[in-house]
Amino acid sequence: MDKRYRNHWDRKEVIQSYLMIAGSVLGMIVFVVIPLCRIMRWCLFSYKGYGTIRYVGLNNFIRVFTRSDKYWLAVKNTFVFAFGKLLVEIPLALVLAFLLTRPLKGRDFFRSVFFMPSMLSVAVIGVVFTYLFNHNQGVVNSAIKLMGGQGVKWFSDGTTAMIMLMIVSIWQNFGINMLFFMTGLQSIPPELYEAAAIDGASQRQQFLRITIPMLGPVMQMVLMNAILGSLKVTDLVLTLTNGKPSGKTEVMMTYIYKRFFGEGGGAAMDYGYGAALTVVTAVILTLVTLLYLRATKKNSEIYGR
Amino acid sequence: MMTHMSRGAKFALYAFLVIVVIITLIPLLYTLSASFKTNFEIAKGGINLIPRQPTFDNFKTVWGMSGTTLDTRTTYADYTVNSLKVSMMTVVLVVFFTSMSAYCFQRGNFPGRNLLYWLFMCTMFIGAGTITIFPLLQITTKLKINNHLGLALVQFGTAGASNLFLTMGYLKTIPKDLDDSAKIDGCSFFGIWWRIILPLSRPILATIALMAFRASWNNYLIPNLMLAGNQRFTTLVVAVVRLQSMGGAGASQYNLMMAGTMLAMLPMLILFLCMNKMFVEGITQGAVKG
Repeated sequence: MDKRYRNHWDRKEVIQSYLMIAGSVLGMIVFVVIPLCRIMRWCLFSYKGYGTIRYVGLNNFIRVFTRSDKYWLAVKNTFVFAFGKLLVEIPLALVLAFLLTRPLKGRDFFRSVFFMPSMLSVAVIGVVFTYLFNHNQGVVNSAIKLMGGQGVKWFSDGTTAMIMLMIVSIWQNFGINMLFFMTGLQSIPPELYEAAAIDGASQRQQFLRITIPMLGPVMQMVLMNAILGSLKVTDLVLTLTNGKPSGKTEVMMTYIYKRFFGEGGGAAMDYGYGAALTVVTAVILTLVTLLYLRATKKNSEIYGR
Repeated sequence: MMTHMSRGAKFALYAFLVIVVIITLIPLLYTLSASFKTNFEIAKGGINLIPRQPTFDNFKTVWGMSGTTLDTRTTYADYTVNSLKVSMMTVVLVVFFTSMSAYCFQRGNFPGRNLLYWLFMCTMFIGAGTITIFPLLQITTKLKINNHLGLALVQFGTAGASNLFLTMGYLKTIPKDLDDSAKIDGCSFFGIWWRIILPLSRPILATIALMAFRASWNNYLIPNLMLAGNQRFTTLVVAVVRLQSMGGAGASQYNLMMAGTMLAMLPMLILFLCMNKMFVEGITQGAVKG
């Protein structure tokens, strides 16, 4: 808004604006801002769901950094999960996006099919795959056995359980990233390629000098969303492995969730500690974001926008 | 990027795409298949896609049964209605309020406008959903809104700002002259939104409605916790996840589980097939412009 008009509020318009915007602002304050403030306050207290609420100062944080092996294991698992799956998901999405931006028969069909799984509920997908990966009855093992292999106990080994989580997550999300890349590719003006072709640039040169740099900003945004989304994975882990076996697939969010809502039996609830973990996790996510933006800054500086 | 490909290259390309299609569809096809199989057939394993004795009983059983021993009168049919109800309420809230606030931010001129806009931006990056779920629950309990309307309100409040950005982007394309001429004709600030902006932004509002419906229908964590105190209110996705722990004694009833998941997925799949373009637009525009 232009600074010059700042002092010329139209009183009626201002009042109407406030009334119209009140609903959204109220929703945000009550359900986002106040909960955030309350988490900050809970950090300083100790409460296990029964007994008295005690003020403990920064003790919860000391505990996070000195006696929280399980949490840091969950942090490690989260990063293993995120980078493991993105290593496959992003290249796959990129390749498919390149292929499907060409004039190709059946393009819309392919695009719709690839994108379909991301429409479905993550929690329900978790349920579906508990069946498909089941040791004795599941389709995956039946197929492996049919090909002469041995059934894999997907759920009882930490590594296979983690791989399974990655497979399911890739299956659900590659299509949506493909879609983002396609939008990025389609927004590159065709004149650029025409001009380059006239100047005698080869396909390879066009790809390296036009496609890659022009895709930079979209790439930056998509990767950022994908990284943060993977680090925040919750529902899939809760419904597919629930951290089993013995915490080897526990991730940051599910670990925190269980500090507040217990693990089945209702044990291990610890509100103050959970709140401290929430804050530490938020800091970790922010650090990842800042580091990422810094690392990719050069890229966007060179190519602008 | 038009390139001329040799026949071999073209064949390889299509082969690759078809393989990815198969991988994408197979889990869904096997889910569909298992929902028509008897539990006996599932227990035997095997990879036959067509059930040996197709049966519709799984759906009948799930539709008429209850997901918990705490309340045996409420069935999966009721859960489906609950989900529809909550999703519709969420859609109305999101569309109505987002349209208004987008209009205020895009066209309005009032003190605190930039501050509020900045606040909305921040909440989008924090993504408060999971992280603050515990205090959120304390608030809804205190306000005594652990019911369908309360859930819709929470889903509206935590929906994030991408809907807002999407709508604001669209409003930029509506010429401001329209506002001005309406103003000259004596239309108030609110009147301009009601008579001009709202009808003209119908396409983008339809997209937002669809995205809000999808988010609400698929939501698991918040409805699971918020409505746990009153089993009558349970939504379908929550009830379907509950099928996992039913059956006891180690013998999971996969036939019922898969019939349940089909029930939860079908409405989304049908919506997606009918309004594919709108979904694509909603998802890409919301993210790219946000």
